[in-house]
Amino acid sequence: MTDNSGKTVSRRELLLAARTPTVDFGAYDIPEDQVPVPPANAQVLPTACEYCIVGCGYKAYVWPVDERPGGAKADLNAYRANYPVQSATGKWASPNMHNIVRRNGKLHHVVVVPDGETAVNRAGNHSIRGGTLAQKVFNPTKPTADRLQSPLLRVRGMLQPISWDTATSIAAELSKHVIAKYGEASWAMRYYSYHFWENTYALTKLALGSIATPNAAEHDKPTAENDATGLDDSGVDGFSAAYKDWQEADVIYISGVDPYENQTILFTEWIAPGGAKIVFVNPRKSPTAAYAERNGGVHLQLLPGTDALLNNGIARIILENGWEDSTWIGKVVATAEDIKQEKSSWRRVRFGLSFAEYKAWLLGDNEYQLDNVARITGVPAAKIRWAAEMLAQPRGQIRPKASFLLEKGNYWSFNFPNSASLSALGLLCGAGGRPGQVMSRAGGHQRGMMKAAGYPLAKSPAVYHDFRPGDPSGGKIPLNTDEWVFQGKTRLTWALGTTWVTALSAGQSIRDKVSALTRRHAAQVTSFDKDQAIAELKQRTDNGGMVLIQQDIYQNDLTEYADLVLPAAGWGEEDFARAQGERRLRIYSKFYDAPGEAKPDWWIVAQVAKKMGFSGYDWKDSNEVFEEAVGKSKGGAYDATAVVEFAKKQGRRTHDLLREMSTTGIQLPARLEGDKLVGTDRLHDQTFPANRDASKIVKQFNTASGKAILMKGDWLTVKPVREKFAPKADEIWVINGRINELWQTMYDDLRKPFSKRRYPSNFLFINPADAKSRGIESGDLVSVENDFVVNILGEVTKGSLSLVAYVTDEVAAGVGYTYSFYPGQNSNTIVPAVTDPVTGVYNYKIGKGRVRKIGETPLKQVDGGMSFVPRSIG
Amino acid sequence: MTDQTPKRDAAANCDGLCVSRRTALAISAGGVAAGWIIPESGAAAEARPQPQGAATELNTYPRKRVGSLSKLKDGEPISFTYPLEQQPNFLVKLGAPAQGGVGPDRDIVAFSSLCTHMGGNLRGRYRHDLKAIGPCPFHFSTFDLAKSGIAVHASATERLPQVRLEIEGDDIYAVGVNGLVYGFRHNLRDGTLASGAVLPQGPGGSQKTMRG
Repeated sequence: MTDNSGKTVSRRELLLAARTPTVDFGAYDIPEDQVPVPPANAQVLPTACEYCIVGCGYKAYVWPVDERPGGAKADLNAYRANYPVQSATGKWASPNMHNIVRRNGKLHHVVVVPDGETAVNRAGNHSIRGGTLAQKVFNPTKPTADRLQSPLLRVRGMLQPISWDTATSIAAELSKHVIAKYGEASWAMRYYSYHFWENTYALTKLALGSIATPNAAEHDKPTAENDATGLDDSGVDGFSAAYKDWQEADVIYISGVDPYENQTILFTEWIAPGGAKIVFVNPRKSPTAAYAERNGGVHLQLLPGTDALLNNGIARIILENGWEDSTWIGKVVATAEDIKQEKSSWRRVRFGLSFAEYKAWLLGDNEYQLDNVARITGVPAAKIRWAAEMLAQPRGQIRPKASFLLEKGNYWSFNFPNSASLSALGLLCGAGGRPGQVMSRAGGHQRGMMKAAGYPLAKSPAVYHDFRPGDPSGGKIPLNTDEWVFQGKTRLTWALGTTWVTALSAGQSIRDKVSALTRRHAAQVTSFDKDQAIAELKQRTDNGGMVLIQQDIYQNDLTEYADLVLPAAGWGEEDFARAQGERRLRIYSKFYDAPGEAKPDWWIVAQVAKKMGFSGYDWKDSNEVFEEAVGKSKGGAYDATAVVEFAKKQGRRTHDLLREMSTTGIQLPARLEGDKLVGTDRLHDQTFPANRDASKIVKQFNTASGKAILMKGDWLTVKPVREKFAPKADEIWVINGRINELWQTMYDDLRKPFSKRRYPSNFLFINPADAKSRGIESGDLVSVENDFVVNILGEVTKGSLSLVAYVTDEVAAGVGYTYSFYPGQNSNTIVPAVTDPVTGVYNYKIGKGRVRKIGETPLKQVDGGMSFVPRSIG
Repeated sequence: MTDQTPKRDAAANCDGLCVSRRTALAISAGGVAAGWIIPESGAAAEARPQPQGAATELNTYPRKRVGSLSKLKDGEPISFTYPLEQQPNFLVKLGAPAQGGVGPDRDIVAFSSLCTHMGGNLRGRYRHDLKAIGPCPFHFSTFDLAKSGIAVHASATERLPQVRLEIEGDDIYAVGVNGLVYGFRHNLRDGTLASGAVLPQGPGGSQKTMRG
């Protein structure tokens, strides 16, 4: 080729000449200015987003790289789109939606595009997280090149490849050894609850079924406890609402979650278009707070950990004015007699209140007087009163349709009192199982759990501290798996899809302990000889140590301590299914080959289970696991037995039926009405026709009596604990949570340069007043140090964290905010392991520390890649 | 999209921006993390029936005068189309140094006016106090104009495309675009050359265009 002057130049020089800017753009990356278009005959496979609870529908368009791409006219491309594509049509793919994959051994283009034909993200709306799904798929020329591709064994300190046969033999032999010698409670599994029914079913079949260990917990908790326990106890399923309910509401009380940031499509596609006024309860003036105040709502910017007081304070105003929904309460709220039927739930018996009891309690306790509530929560009294009016004050004969949305900002600080006080407030306002009048979690990850067996509570030694004889189930609570490790009772831990030591509270303390039990223990593997390796690891378990098996798609902060690492195949690499935030069941199609020897989790668990001598693990594919798993859903919120029955009647595999149902799928529970497969909009539906047949959970609340229970969420149980762990002297609160651009432990975001550039470091949102008094500017490096990080044994430890300062009035003076799970900069380092006394769930959000400047980062410069513009303008 | 666009010889077009399909395959197989550049051109494209008003296909970015240093005022955006007439942009003097900024204070930048999420028009949403634009009327995406258009918070999967600028005397020229403009598969396809835009002269960059 020649250039403009006729001189011969290389292709690379030409590319550089054409693409290098004439000025220095600072950032390393110059974004693409073109993207391949799938040809009209491209294969189209339905899937849904890997990430958040909303589970937007996507389609993967796949075509071989040696075929011509599609053209600009609708008949020449698979989108059936004319270029340029019009706005808001959902038919445009950006360069970040494209990648190259291997499919059946051959290179293919893939474009993963939000599907405009789904019932979830209508018109192809999407978030920044799901929109970049194509960048998560394995491509050895891109940042995903470091996917785990073969089993690894730590031999003489180094993780080195071994065969699947050796790996599964080691896992099985060690498991058999510790169970035989120390009992099943010495064998721990930390399984995830998010990643597809096929996998969670297989994991729990082994842990809770075949082995039946009480030493088990989901990825984000130390105990096998529920999430929003107070809501569950009231009889309202965490995901009872239909998304259209948020569109039909007049007012939405949003507690401890920013739905624009974290359930983006729930907000931009359902909440905002419905025009409901928003009562936004959050210590942060985040983008949704700004939206709420711009659109007739109110932001109740409470101090961390005061949710139960605020919820009860609002309820008291409603009761004082007689604004409660009396008709509703008379019809659906449980009486004292109803509550006595709750034989299987000691919490309901202990904390359930009749309406008269609830009213007498709130009106009789001066703690809930408005002035006191305003003083302690930091929210002006006028705003609290206004919120009560918006939620419950009738306009003539008409009540506002109020709905309630909550998430971890609520139930991950003081789990039971926060979620119980919220659900009681909701019931008072008439919410729960009516169009536009619902209560639900916003949700984190999707509903991927299909348990093969129940938790063996009888085997747990843990009992509620204030247990009284006669409490149902003996007041038992699941054992704390972290405590079990600290006490040396766990001899083997198998951790799947969780970073554990950087996710749970008092992280430095857990890391020190796990390190001592594994890497720093005297017994280490010194040979690839299988028998010798097993013998050496048995030496470990028999001398106070622990063997750690990690199963994941990448190495992460936990890998440092692992003896055996098993490579998993994930999203897009196997046919899977699960439900999302309105219980919508969909297929997640395989569209490319898993890297190297990576295998789906169900397959890995089955190999180990068979080598341990258990039967019932001879599945030939993921569809077989799925159809078996669905048997456990009968009668519950995710009952899909009718879907399998429907497929079998047609002689089809259920996965194939789901593929045909594409990105809309079906809302569970499903049922057969004649020849028709029918889904369920909302649970506990008080408007459901009495003459139609459906399971109890569809028509009634999830309690013995079918009525909803007012649970006592007592602020006075919070108050002393909160005061003990509150900032002292020059400390500030340092709370944590999610942020729009990042997902969970950033396993994918670390490998998406576009996403990571927004937050190249973990950050500390700090109020301008706090920053000024410490000489801090945006872009400075700051440290947070907490000298009062109590661990699970009650020992006082210390935690230190370095962060980049982001000066913003998004947080109030005295309150900082950081990302929960930034690898290497984990907020749990400064969070004490304080558990809720009723449920055992950690107060993950309640951190604090001294903040000071320790340097500057290059991000502070003009050419630094990070933005420090305030986010609360949204 | 219009017959007014000069037609271009298909055989003599692929310099700079274009790579043959063979080269593109080599990129994917050989592991070079380069962009995918597969032009809708060549004999096969010629053989297909061309719909009425066939798209224009340029192969290098044109050059267009979009403003002058002496007339540009702090915080007052000027609209212009570039490189195609269907691609609206704005030029703005931020009043503070910016990535990709030109001018004596490195504070003059230009960006696409179309949100890279779903194509919302950002016109009229410049925030001079923050050197940012947004929230988008569709879904609230907001972009930092001093940091090459990255999201302040956004649902967009790309930065706001930044127009590359050059200064010549008092004149400000647009000379290229970083990032794909919403709605397009290629910044130089499926539209007409922006009014006032001039293609570079030379063997690979004459005033010719080609059908796509």
